[in-house]
Amino acid sequence: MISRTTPYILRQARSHFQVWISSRLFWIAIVSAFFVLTGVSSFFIYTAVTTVERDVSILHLAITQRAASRITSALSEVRRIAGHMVKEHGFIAPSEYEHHVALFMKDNPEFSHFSLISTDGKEVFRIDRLAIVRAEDLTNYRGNEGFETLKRGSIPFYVGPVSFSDQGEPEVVLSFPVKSLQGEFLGVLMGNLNLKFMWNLMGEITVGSRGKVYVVDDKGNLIADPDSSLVLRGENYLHRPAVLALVRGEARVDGLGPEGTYVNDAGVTMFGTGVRIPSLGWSVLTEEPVADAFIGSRRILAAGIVLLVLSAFLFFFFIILLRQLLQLTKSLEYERVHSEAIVSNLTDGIIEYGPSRRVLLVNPEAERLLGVDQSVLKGRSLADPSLARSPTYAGFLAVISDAETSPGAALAEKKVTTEIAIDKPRDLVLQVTTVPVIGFGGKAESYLKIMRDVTREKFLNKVKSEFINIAAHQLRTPLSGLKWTMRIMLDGDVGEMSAEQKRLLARGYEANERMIRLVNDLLDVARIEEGRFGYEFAKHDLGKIIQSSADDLALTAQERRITVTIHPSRATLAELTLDEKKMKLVLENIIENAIHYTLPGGRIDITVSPLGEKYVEIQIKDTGIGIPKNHLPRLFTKFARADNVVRLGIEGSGLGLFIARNVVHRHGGEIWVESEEHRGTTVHFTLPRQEALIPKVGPENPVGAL
Amino acid sequence: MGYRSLIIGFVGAALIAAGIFWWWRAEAPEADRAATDQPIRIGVVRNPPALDPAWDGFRNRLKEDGYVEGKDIIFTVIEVGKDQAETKVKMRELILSGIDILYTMGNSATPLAKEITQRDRPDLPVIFGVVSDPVGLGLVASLRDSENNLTGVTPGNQTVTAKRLEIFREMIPSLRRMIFAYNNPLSGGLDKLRELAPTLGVTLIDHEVKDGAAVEEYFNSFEFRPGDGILRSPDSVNAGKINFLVSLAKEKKVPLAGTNGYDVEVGALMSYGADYEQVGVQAARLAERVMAGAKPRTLPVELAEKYELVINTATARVIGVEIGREHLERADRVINQ
Repeated sequence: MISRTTPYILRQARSHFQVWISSRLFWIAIVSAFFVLTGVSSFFIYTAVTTVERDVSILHLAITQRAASRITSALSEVRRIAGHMVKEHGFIAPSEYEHHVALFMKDNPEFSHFSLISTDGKEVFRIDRLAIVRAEDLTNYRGNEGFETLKRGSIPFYVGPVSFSDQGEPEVVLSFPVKSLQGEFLGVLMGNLNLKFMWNLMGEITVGSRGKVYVVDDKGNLIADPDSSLVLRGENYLHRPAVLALVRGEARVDGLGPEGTYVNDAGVTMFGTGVRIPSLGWSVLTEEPVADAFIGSRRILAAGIVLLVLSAFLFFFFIILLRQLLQLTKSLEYERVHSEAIVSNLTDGIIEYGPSRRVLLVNPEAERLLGVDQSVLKGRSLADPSLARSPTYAGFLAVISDAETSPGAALAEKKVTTEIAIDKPRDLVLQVTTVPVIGFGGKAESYLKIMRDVTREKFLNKVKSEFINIAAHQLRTPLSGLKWTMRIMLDGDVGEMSAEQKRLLARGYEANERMIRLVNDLLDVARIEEGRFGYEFAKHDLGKIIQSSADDLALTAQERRITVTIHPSRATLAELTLDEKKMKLVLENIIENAIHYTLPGGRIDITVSPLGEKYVEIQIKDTGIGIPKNHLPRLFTKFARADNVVRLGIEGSGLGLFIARNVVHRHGGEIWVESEEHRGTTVHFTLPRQEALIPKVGPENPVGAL
Repeated sequence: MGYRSLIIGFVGAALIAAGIFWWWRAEAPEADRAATDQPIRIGVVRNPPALDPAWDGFRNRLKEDGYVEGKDIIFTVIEVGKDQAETKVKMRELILSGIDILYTMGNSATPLAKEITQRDRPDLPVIFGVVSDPVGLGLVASLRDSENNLTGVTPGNQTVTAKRLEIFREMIPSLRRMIFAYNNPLSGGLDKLRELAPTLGVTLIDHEVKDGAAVEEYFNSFEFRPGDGILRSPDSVNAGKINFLVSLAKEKKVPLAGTNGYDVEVGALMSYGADYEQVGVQAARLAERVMAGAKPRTLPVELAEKYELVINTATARVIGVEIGREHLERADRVINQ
């Protein structure tokens, strides 16, 4: 069987893939792609972040504008009410204003005090919410900017600068002209508006969880803040860039410039936007910690960087995988070409087909042997009936078994070797080995038919066997005649011989006997190789055959002072199906070898024992000279004789074990040898206990014959 | 590149991502994080009944702002005692009980609070309400910066008392003598009263009283005559005797001017001064800032935001005086019971 393994990567190999991978252009392309990826990602992140920041700025400006609108609306309302009072009571004497002003102050607690100024600038009265005003407390407003401006009649009202009370509360003076119904200027009504009401207005506007809206006057003094303590402390924020920009006349600060960020007293970096109220000179600002205001853009930025980092990693990971893939592809491509070259140049023919019986490969040698064309066969099914109809494929189909051309039939599960003779395109004998190619899943992915042309070898073997057969037959007859002649002479039937003559003749007789045995062995070998050894299977008692074989050699053993002991099986063995003569031949060959290769005084033990329920094992163990380890692999080939045996001058043909192995195999058994030089040898062989285990037909080509 | 390098690269990328995530969380606003604050324990020193509106305003404002009693805040309330010694013992016990903020009302409890905290717990924030002239009393260094652990809201009675007298005199022009029994000359603005009363055409009869018993003793022995009026002094001793003063005024048919709306609600003829409930609201606002981490000295003392004129016409009928229409029009509240 053939198993697939990891492809061998030929590092020295050069292919266009490798050239491409290692080229500078490839790496320039990769680096360029990386920078493009990074650039595009950064652009999108930057765009998203700036968009979010712009939206935050717009939102904050909207809040700021809304706060500014509320302030101006509130002041307009105060002005409207105060102005209405003036118009309503403009025709009465200024001294009557006091009661009306007191009532007005009750309804408008934002005003801390009110004064009425006469046309000449004298303060006629002053109503203070908390303090008594005595006559000596009244003052003269001649030269006062508000008074003079209103007296000139250029504007309908006047808003003075912000001032701060003793308690630190911001106030502003609102002045209105008092006129008669005819429009005559009668004086000025001047009210101190406490700006505390704006603190609550600012507190009602929510800017995130930590932001706020505050108001500064034209000098940067804080005049409204949700935290009244800051106002009462007299904070001035002119050091804040956003406040400074607005005080200097900027209409608005959108927060996106450098003036939009500053660190407050608590050390928190704030994002500030602001708008200026031109009519008052005040500025309204919205501030929120940068971490809060830009949480969205921070999250986008964080997510973008995370994605960019991971993308870069994945990009490089992808490049590495791509590189490895290309290298692998290159290796596979090289291996494919390499394999194709090997297959094409093999001296054996190869046909590969898949489990679906479709032909995958026919190499050039197979094309030559079978006279077919791969381009025609590739992809076709072995079961394609058109193949059988064409004489061109007769040879091809001859090497394909019936199972392989029959859809649904089981295909070979293990290596099988057969010899097949074909007559098209010419007479050939092919040794065909069918091998399943086992894949990673342990299943056959394809099947190989490996064909070897053994026509010449078969012919030579046949010639050789015929020669041996003829030679043996031709030798056997004169040898038999010689044997009987010498036997008659030794028996004294033709007269008495001297002892010396008798000794010499006896040696000639023994030499002739050995020659006859050799010829018999050669004849057996020839018959085996020609497949006409002629087996006759029948039920026999193995023990009796062993005993008979041992008895036949008992004299020889006795002459060499070797003890042969048979140890019968402890378990009862039924009669086995075997060829008695052939089995006796096997046993005599093995026992005779043991006797010859054991020094005098040695011993031979023959043991028979069951091997499971299916087989019987026979062991012939001697205490002989043993077999050199390097000789063991070719022990069962013809004429195999160990060096130590030859050195000792022990005679033998070297055919006994060859014959024994062929006979044992024909019985469905196995034979093997264990040996250690100078310690002895044990020959094992098995025989089946069941007739069904005996092969129906013997191997056409005897094992070891080639 | 082997698997080890890949793993190192992946771990590196993951660490960078985790670092950026950590930075993002660190930059996240505090509002995103769960608050695990313990309840704030607030000690309260009541001065009933006249100053209870400041307590009601304080508690209601905190409730409106989402502070749940028992969960977010825990009040431990005591009342001023019959005398300073008793009040001192109770207040010291309260201050040492582990409270986080002390809220005091009136110029009786607040000086004691300063004295005890500066000796035993100088870091304990003290918020005061209804304490006039806190600078003159030595409670704070200035209105903008107390330079200690106190801040609060002042009704400004050291100034407003004279204004009250002016309105009282305008409302009842027949008034010729004004009886003013004071416990604390500073919080009552005694000097200013003495200076301005003659300009208003009234004679100020002032008398110092040590405690509530002295108030009763003084007024029970005083011989009233037509044209007399009582100007209730804005101090804790007189605040505690408001019911006595109202009964006395009705019995003697003497006009009584209180310091705030509560006095009129219980029977005084009129009052002009800070709305004590609003004072409590302002004090609660300061307490919230302290709970947010502000130090009292960074919170300037605030002047009361709302002043009101309150008239009780039922009392006017009882004592036999007539209130002019123009005064009723100017009143923020007119009570007829």
